[in-house]
Amino acid sequence: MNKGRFYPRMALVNLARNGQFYIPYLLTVMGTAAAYYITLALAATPDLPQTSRYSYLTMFMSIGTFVIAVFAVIFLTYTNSFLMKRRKRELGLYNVLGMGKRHIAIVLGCETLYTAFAGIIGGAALGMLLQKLAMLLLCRMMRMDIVYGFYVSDSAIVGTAILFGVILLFNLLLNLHRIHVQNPMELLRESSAGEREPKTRWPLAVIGVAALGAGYAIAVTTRSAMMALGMYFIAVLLVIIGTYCLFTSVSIAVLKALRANKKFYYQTDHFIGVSGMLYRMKRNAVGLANICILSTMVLVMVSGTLSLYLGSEAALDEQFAGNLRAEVRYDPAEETPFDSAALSAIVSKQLEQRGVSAAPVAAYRYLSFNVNEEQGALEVKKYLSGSSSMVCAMTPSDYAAITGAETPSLADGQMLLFTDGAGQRRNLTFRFAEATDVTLTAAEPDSRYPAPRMFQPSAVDVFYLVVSNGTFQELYVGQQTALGEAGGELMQWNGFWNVDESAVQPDELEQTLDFTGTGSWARLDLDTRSSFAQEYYSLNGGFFFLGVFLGAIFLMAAVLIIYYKQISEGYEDRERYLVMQKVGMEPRTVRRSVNTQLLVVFFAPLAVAAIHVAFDFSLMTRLLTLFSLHNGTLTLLCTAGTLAVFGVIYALVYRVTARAYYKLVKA
Amino acid sequence: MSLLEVSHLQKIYTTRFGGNQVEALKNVSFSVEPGEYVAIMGESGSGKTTLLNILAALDKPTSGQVLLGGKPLSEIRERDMAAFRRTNLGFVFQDFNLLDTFSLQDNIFLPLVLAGQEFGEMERVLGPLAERLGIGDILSKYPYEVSGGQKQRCAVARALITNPQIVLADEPTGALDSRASDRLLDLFGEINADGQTILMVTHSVKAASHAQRVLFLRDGEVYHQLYRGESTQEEQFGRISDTLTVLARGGEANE
Repeated sequence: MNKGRFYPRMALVNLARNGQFYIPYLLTVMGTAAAYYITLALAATPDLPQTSRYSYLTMFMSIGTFVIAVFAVIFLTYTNSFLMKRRKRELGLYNVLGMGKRHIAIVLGCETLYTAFAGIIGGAALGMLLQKLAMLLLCRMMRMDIVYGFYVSDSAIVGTAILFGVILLFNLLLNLHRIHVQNPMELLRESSAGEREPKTRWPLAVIGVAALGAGYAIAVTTRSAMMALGMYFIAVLLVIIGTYCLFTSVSIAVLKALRANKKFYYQTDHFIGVSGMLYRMKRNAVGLANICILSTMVLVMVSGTLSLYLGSEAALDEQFAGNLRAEVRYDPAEETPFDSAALSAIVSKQLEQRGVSAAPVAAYRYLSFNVNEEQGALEVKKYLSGSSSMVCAMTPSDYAAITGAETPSLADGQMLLFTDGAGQRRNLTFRFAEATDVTLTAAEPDSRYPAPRMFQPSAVDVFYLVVSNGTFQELYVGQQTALGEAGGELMQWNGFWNVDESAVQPDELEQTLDFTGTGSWARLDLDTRSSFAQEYYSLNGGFFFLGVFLGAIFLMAAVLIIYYKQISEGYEDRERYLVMQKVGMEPRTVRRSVNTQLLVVFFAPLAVAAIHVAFDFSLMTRLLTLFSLHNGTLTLLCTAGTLAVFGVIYALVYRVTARAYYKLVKA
Repeated sequence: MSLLEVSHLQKIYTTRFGGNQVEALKNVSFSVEPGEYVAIMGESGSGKTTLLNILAALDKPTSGQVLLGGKPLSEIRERDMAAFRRTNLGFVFQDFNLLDTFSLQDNIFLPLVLAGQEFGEMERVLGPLAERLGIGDILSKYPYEVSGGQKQRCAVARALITNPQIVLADEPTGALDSRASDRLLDLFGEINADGQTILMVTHSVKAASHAQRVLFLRDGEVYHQLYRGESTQEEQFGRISDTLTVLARGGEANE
């Protein structure tokens, strides 16, 4: 046979013969490439309207592109090294049979070429097929009314080809290096070498427990959203470290402790199970940790973005007592102070002149300023910092207007205090530079007074205060003295009307309404609920799409690792179970023991992921307040739902892959 | 009464697509008395492995039957088979078949654990046995940490710990160097002297010369047998060699 054609043919035969491992690998390359193509293509959507909410689409897709690229590099390299480990013996044999390393390199090169060819072309084709579907979903989630036709993005194809070409080339070079440094006898021996019993690595176990504990502690103790944002990645990192240590060493320490308990260990089921799991843990600890982390990521991403998405309406309701809103910032000390009643009337009247009925439905006024807690007192600050809190004060009548509760009667110096995470307190002392301190005492908690559901987009803890008119004035004067010029404009008035939204354009209203007679104010913003909702959904919908999309990719990775784990364990276990049957183990005992071990090892990552998610929950609810989601129950339901759906998918994957495993063990 | 009675065993394998039939055993009959030490010799393809698999109840004969302690193997129900093997038979394999997941001690305990014995009881039984086999100080090690000879002695311990009616050994010296082989064969001799029945399948003339009786298998039939009687192991070695030479020439043995 022609030598030039021999190696390419051999490469093809190799791929086919290792199909059990290579076909899933190829599918993964294709899937990841398709996902990468889709995000690239959507990010480059042509002819987008030039408004900010359409730029979110590009932003979200760019984030997606970046995450998938990083993921592809890590995951495909990991998978490749797994595949090569399995093939060591085969490659060693080629070498012994007289193929030079150069020839093996040619074969491996051809294999990579085939994989790249099929993976990239197949991936781009799959991407194009799914592109339209992704676009439809995205438009729907982001509430965009324009659905684009089909287009092929050349730049996305080129981008996909370059990224995956580079990754595969990089892996090929790694493989060639591996072969280069190994001698054939080593290669041959490698896969048949006796497996050592795993050692307990105490330092790692200690680090793991400490890292996990610290990560959990951060998650549980963080109270403010701002802190949550800052600490989130530290917590995630700690938990990831902890997870790896947990699976690689803590598990082994626990199993060894079980083995040391002779009464427990020397019972048929425990005997086989504990020793088998010890053995498995060494081989598969990293794989299990990977599955666990990927699962956690999927769960957190999907449940977080889902609750954000589903919470949108409630968040909008909080902000819109009526569907047209005016926000006015003003300085009450001006010569002709802002006249809220006049504004209400003017807006209603002028809209009615245009044939749009606009009844005022609610209005309230509040004062907000930043404070830092120092030496037991809240010191007024001009700028927000990480340790800041925000004070949002209102009078009893405005409180009643917001909540619909009865007007509380409060003496001067008394307050109703509502906090978002900052904990309940009896007293608050305000310090305003040179002015005297103002100390407020909380009135007895009373179930008649619900927390005001008003919108205050804030990254920090907010103290919602209801105080008497006199104290309100005192606070206003105090902060104004402390902040000087900047303090004056911090009074805010929100007014609401119910209008036919299709008939009004908030931007146009701002320009054309005649506001004479409303006094002087610093800023006036008009918004309708629907225009605001569009903006809102293009953010939350984008997040949700990204959460689900990336969740699907990570899920695919987890499934592939699970599949490889089952297959490689199947090969390992086959001989062990043969021997056990020879020395008198009943086949059904074998089956039962295999089952138990598989179940425990299989569902351990899911259980740990669920624990991670449980601890992450409070951190996530804090973070979600940044996006004005204050509905803990909704987040809980979304998390539980996501976990349930994920659990079902996981169990299905288990059933399918366990079948592949049994086939191997029985043969 | 004989401990093991094999009568008119025939085993026919049919190739996968039903084309060719291979007769691995034609007509094998012999018996083993309690306390006997019997070696079965034969070239590759003579049916040794098939015979052993049938004796171990891992395979079923096409016709004929095997009686252990007067009870036909064919009458044991499938679900009781494992327990039967565990309590009545002890196995020693060419490649040891020790599990890397267990320490040597746990490998030896395996059949007892499968039978649901108490740990204290197991330990009590193992003590003297380990002493006897010279493996007392390596029990906590793992199979990959010890030599082939040590592994095989542990495998012997695993075979003996259930106090089986008969030990079936399949080429027990096949993977050992000559020193380790000698030691193992001496051990078999001692165990047999204590009354343990042993049936060994082997290629090795030396191994066979330790047995009290050697059966020669050729083309699926017992072709000849040699009793050691009062002769020394060296004399027996010579007689076996001669027989094998005759066998190889294809002639009839004349006793």
